[in-house]
Amino acid sequence: MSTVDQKLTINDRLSPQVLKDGEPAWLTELRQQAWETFLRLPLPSTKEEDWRRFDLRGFRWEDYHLATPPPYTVVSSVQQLPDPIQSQLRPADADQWAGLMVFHGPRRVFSYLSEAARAKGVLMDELTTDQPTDIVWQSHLHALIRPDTSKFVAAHAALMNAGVVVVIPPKLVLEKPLHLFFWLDEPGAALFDHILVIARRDSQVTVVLHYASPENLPSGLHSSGLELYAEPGAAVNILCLEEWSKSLYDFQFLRGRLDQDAYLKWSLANFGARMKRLDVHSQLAGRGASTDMLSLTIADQNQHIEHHTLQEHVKENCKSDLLFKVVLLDRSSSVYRGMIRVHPKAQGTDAYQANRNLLLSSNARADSMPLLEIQANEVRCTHGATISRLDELQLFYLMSRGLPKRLAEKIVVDGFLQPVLDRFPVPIVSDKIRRLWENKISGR
Amino acid sequence: MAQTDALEIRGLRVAVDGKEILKGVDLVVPKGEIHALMGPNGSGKSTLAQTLMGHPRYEVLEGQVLWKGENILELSPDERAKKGLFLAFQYPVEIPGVALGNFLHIAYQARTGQEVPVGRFHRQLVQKLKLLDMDPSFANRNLNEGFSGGEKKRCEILQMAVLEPEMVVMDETDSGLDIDAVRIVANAVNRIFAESQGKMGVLIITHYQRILRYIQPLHRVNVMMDGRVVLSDGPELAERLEEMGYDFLEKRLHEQAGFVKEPSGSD
Ligand SMILES: Nc1ncnc2c1ncn2[C@@H]1O[C@H](COP(=O)(O)OP(=O)(O)OP(=O)(O)O)[C@@H](O)[C@H]1O
Ligand SMILES: [Mg+2]
Repeated sequence: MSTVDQKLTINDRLSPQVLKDGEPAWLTELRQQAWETFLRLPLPSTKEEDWRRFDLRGFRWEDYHLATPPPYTVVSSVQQLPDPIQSQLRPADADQWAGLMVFHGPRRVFSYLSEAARAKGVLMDELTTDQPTDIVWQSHLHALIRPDTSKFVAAHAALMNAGVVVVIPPKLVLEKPLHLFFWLDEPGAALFDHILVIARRDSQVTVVLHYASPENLPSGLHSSGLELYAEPGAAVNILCLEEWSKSLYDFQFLRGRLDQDAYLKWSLANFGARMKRLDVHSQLAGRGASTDMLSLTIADQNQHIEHHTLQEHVKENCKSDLLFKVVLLDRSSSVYRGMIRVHPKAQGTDAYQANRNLLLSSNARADSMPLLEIQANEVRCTHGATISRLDELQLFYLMSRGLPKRLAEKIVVDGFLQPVLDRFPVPIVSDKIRRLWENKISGR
Repeated sequence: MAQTDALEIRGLRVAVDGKEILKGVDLVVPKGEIHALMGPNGSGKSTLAQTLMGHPRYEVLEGQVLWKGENILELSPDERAKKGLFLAFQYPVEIPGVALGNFLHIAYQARTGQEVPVGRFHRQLVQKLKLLDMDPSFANRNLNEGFSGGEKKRCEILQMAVLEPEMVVMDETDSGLDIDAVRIVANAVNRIFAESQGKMGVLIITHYQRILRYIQPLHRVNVMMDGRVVLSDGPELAERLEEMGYDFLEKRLHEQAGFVKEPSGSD
């Protein structure tokens, strides 16, 4: 049954070999193909335009192993989870969510789906061989994220060690959000989670992803994929809060495909990682679809955070509105690279893209590259990028009114980020996001 | 002797980007008095104002600034503000995304160290906005962002009214104000001064007599030329200057052989 060649492993703890037991054959095959792709592709180099500022010289695959499951299995209540996880989940109780799934490393240790959601046919499950989950997986996995996109995606596809599928039945409006929480507390561990969301016709759902680790976790690798299908008329919110330790390498590939009149909002908050590449696409594949793409990032110390976006207008009369804001402190750096691509058929396109960077240190550096590829003629595309420094004069002005430097910086950052946060969909998560940036500003 | 109830500037020499701008300023503004500081363009008035508030670009080469007997030159701008200093900027700075009302609430608490409930603070703010004849909607607008030139200047005095400082430097607050606005601002200053009952000193930097005409009481007029205070006299000096101009003054000063300077407040 072993179809994966043993010698294809990097080390005996980072190999698809470890994962194949009990898996359906199609998945094992998919892993193997991806693994071959992985071995074939070189590590991205700064010679490639797309990776120009992503210096991977300090990165070695040998330093990582597949995250090991924690020494306990599934628990039946949040109160039985380890303290660090519990405190991350506060202040919300499980029943503030329509569903809650908690992963400790690769293992799902808690799962809750409200009676109401279950009764109405909501599916929230791990990757299993059970029907109907298996069929959903098999027909969608990696359809939007091709493993040969980069070595990190290939690794993700070959080594996927956690997976969640969510299916919202037609016309169902799920009022409370679904929450997926991932906790990584093992040094050197690699997490390759994959999330598949399918919102059937005219359904509505909000999914909250939360990635966290202890602040001092010395190393780790995260390469995740999210594939989302919004069928005609569906409305989906994906909110992702990432607060890894500042030692991790993080590669996040988020893809949404929207059918006619569907709506998708990305709300992303990025705090952690030593180096991070966030790759977000909204593909407007049906007429009249629309997407909002929001992101806020605060980086400090020597963090390097990259944002790569695609607003792909395939069909006519679609709308996309993107706002990515970045605050940089200390010696941190960021890249924004965003493409608006308008296909020949996509008449009546309305696309907007804005990347705003606020630098609070003269040693910080932001790069912004807006790109346009327009093949239709009746379109409205606007894009803009700004890089501003909290200049000496603004700071002096605010301090002259009695505000200490940190407080002056904080109110400027609040003023900069709050308008984005105001558009995020889940207040309880927004409160948390705001606390996180306040700590980052005042904690220096 | 240091005066315990005054701002005292002694032999202040200041450079910007290596160029000496203030070449030995002597000036005393006691609490309970309103002084004017006049002088030609480029003579160093704003440099003095910014130095008093602690702008990091201004390098003090020599001299002292005593406030209530304490040398404040080592203090950061916010510490100076906490000690009661306030500068109304010649060019107020736009701060996007920060609402005026919120900002003043935070600043008031930071400056005074007292917590004030939002509701009560807002009621007080509305009163002060009225005093400056400003629409209440300004409280929700971003600090100085998109304000007209005159609105920015009014907003400086609004901030002064709210923050209740003890020593105020107004750097050309009157420039850019229309005729009515000059009167409104001057009256507001008079009122704040009167209400302080001798606990506040004011230094008004201006080129024009028109604001000084409204200021009650005006104790002294000081003239700065080429980085020094060269003359200090009663309020009628402002009128004479406006009539005769600085050229005249310069000639007269040269004629007075041996003339160096005449510190104010020492008579
Ligand atoms: N960075 C700098 N390098 C060199 N000279 C400077 C610099 N900044 C200011 N100065 C000069 O310092 C002098 C004093 O400027 P300041 O703004 O204090 O004058 P002022 O009396 O306020 O003039 P005004 O009446 O026009 O407002 C000016 O000649 C100005 O050009
Ligand atoms: Mg000036």
